[in-house]
Amino acid sequence: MTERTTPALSRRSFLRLSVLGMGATALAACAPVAAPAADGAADAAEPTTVSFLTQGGGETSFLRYEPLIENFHAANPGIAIEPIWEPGGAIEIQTKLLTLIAAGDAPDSYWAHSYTNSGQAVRNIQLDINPFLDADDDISGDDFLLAAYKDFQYGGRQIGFPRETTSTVLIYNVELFDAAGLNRPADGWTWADFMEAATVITSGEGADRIYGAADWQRNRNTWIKIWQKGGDVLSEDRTTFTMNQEPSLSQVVEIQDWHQDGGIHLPATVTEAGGFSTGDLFTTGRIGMFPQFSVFSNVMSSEFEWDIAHLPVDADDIQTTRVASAGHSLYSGTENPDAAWQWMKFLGSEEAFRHWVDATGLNVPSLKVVAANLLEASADVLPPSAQIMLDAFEYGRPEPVAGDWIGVHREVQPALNSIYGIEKADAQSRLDAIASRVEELAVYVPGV
Amino acid sequence: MQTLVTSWRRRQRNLLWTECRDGYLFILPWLLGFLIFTVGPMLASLYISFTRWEIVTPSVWVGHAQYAKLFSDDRFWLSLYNTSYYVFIGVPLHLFMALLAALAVNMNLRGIHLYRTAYYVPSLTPVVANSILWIWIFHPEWGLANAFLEWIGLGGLYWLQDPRLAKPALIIMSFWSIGGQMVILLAGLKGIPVTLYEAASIDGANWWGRFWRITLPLLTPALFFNLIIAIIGAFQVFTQAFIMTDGGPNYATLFYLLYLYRSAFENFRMGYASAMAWVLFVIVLVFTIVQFRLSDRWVFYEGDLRQ
Amino acid sequence: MKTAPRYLNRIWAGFWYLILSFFAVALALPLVWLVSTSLKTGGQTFLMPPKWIPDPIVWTNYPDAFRAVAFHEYFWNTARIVFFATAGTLLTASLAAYAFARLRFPLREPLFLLVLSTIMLPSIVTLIPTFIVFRTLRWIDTFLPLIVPLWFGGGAFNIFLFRQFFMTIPLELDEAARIDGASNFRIYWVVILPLSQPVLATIAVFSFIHHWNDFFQPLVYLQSPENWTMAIGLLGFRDLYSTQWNLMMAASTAMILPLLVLFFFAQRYFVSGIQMSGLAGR
Repeated sequence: MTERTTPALSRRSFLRLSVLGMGATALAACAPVAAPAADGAADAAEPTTVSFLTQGGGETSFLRYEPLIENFHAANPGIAIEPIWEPGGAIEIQTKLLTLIAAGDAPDSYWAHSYTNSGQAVRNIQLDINPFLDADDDISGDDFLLAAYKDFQYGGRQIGFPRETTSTVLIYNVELFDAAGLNRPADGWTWADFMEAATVITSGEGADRIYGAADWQRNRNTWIKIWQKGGDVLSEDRTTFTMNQEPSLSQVVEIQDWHQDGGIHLPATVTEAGGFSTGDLFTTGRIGMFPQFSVFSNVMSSEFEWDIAHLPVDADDIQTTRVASAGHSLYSGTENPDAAWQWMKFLGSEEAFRHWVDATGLNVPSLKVVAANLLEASADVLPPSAQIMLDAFEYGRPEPVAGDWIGVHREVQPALNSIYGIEKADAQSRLDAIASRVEELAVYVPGV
Repeated sequence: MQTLVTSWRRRQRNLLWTECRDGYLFILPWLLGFLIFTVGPMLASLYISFTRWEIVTPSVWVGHAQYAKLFSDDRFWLSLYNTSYYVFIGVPLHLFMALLAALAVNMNLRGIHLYRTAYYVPSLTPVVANSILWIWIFHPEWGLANAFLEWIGLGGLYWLQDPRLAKPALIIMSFWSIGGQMVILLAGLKGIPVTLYEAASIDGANWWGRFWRITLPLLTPALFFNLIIAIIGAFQVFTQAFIMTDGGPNYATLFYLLYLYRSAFENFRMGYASAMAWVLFVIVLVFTIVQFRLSDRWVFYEGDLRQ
Repeated sequence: MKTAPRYLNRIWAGFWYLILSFFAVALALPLVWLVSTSLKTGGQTFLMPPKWIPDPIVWTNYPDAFRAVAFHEYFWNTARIVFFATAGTLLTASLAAYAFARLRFPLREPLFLLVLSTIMLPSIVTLIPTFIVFRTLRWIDTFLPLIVPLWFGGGAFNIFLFRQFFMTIPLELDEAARIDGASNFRIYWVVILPLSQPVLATIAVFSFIHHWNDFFQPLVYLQSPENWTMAIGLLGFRDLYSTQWNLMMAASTAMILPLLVLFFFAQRYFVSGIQMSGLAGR
């Protein structure tokens, strides 16, 4: 087994503390903590319980897993899945996970997201499932969309399976393109074409102004443009911040230019204040095109024709895009790794993915066979060129996650906001200013 | 005579002993609750603040290293500045607004209970709903705030996008949650005996005189309560920045607790977060003690034991 | 004003109504927006510029919201927590406050400061240790962590508020009762509490509203959906990539209606001002 992260010490320190200052009542109450929960050696008749912390709150989210839990138990009578539902996003789940681990109630398996994967992987929270994969002929990493599968890799370990995934594509308003007599984005579309289209589409004043482009101010989208030119957030060894160097820097400066007054880009001030998203503005016909991960629920209500395209790419550039995924991981300290693996395998099975497509609809299943069927099954709600979002997985990549990656996000986005926003901060000096903080977060070695 | 005095003294001593015993008996539920549920976790966090503990890794004793790191972290100082701004500008204004509202809904008008309810309503609506509404109100293009400014002939502002305006904007927004303080002050106002006002009116005092000589002094216990609670609460301001501004723009609303929360549950630095928490604890405690000392000079209790 | 002619009073009243109404409209905006959003289609929620009056008006959001989240199940959980938490708060917080306000005992001032200090430490850093305490007691996924602590003091806010109001009651009342041989508990029960109707009502309402709306604590301790509260249910409208704002606001509107009614009718108790009525002309 891989290194086990035990919460025992934290509990012991807690106990030590109780001794320090608490009254006898509290002390007595704490005593049972020391005794390990002795439910491991259950009767043979008793099914092994695998707890499963997952995202859920409304009926829809329950539907996502409850039938699977029943089907799994029917197929594996020796294993019972005990769900722990947490309504919330990646951070809320992580908070719950950490609380449960610290309290000695860690779940055996849990819902995970590429946003939080790295910080957990640095601390060996996830079980490396490579040994199970090697020993099991039923399932293979090749079954998954490659970029999504990579999203659950860290330092040579496989830290889980992706469930659903997204690739970033360009969403565009077909009517605005046609009305301006522009060619629709197609293969071989370059940044010069992009600029031309954005310039032509941008028109009007004040609250009626239509913007050619939007949403490049988000760090995740700026990064794609940087990747195309061979740049990155971090150096190859992921120890040095490289956004403040070429070729990255000039991409940031270029996007800053788009944001100039009277420019082609929707000012970040219109959408950056929470709540209102670019998609909402797109539906009112005020945006020509913008990059977004391939979840289209926010633009569905558009009453005009819209479609998706590959992001523009120049002849010498690397064609790439960003892939981000949600999935499932096993806890490295699980007391039932074999049973937990069976559950994990089931969550990576075609049966499970088919169920999710029915229950959740639109998001891209990361299992290849099911993803291919998605286009037929959901043709009525997907854009005409939906195949593009699947093709994008061929060349797309995850973020260069390292160390406490959420912290890196938290450093880069405010810096970009100052550069693109009303402060018009100097790109070089603003990025220089966060370099050491980003590096400290990225190379962070925990617990030393 | 002699025996009378001694028995009176004994009686007094008995009374004192009874009072002391009953005092502890009355606070016993709280004391037990404190010992069982509260003191342990508090001390645990104090201990953690002297360790390097990342929740899933073993804790390592590092002495005062977290505190030393804290004081050399410019983001810590920034978050402390942002929070102090919110406390020292927001709390007095908030208190003043609550007092005005309480005086207003204390008027003897027909249908005033409808107004009381209306003024309390924003304290009932979910924070998330309020926050989204306010994002829209402050929206530079379509917001009500800028529409109002333009109506009175001023230009529009980037409320939540301008680092100079983000904190004032959140303070303005906080005026919508004066309901709780208003109710407490209202209860205080209603507790002032009408006869005092009648006597003052006979003495020829006008509204202002009655307000200064009767209303305000007798309202001081409720005002003091609001002040202390508001300070403790404002130092822990979190939700609005968490939902609306995400700490931005350019860290202008990175409040103390937001930084603490991110350190703890996004970046796993529980030791660091605990050190932050205890620094805040000491700051707020000192403020509270000072306020209690100063309260002797301005807070007037009719039933004060020291009188 | 007493001597002013009738028509002047009318003008004054009109003036005040105007001012009061202006602020009432401003302060009611969140509620109006809440109700408005609750009647919109999903696509209209963030339509810019926003519309106050939805078109079309989607009444079905309400039944849809109740179908999407099992509020009928969560209602009874919430009601039980609210009832028992509020009862415990009223009883034990007033007990402690009575001691801090009206009895002399050693360490009274430091102990009171200790009471207040419990709300000075951000709960983020005590979350995990507190969870461990309740886990040790085997109270996770029960209502106990949400109720029992409130039977042990009711929280610093409430103790402090009770204390402030108890301290405005003249001590002569206690003295008189004491001379009649009343014990401290009797004074608390027969003299102080009846005079404290406004603060009792205030704290009851505050506590009711707090526990009704609180999602943070229940979310930490309640794991099974069958134990969830309505405030947790509201979070169920959030999904990974999108939030059904219109349904969430419909459920929120339905959730705060009882609170509005409660506040409307409870205010006659906390503004009744009976506290000093027996002491006129003292």
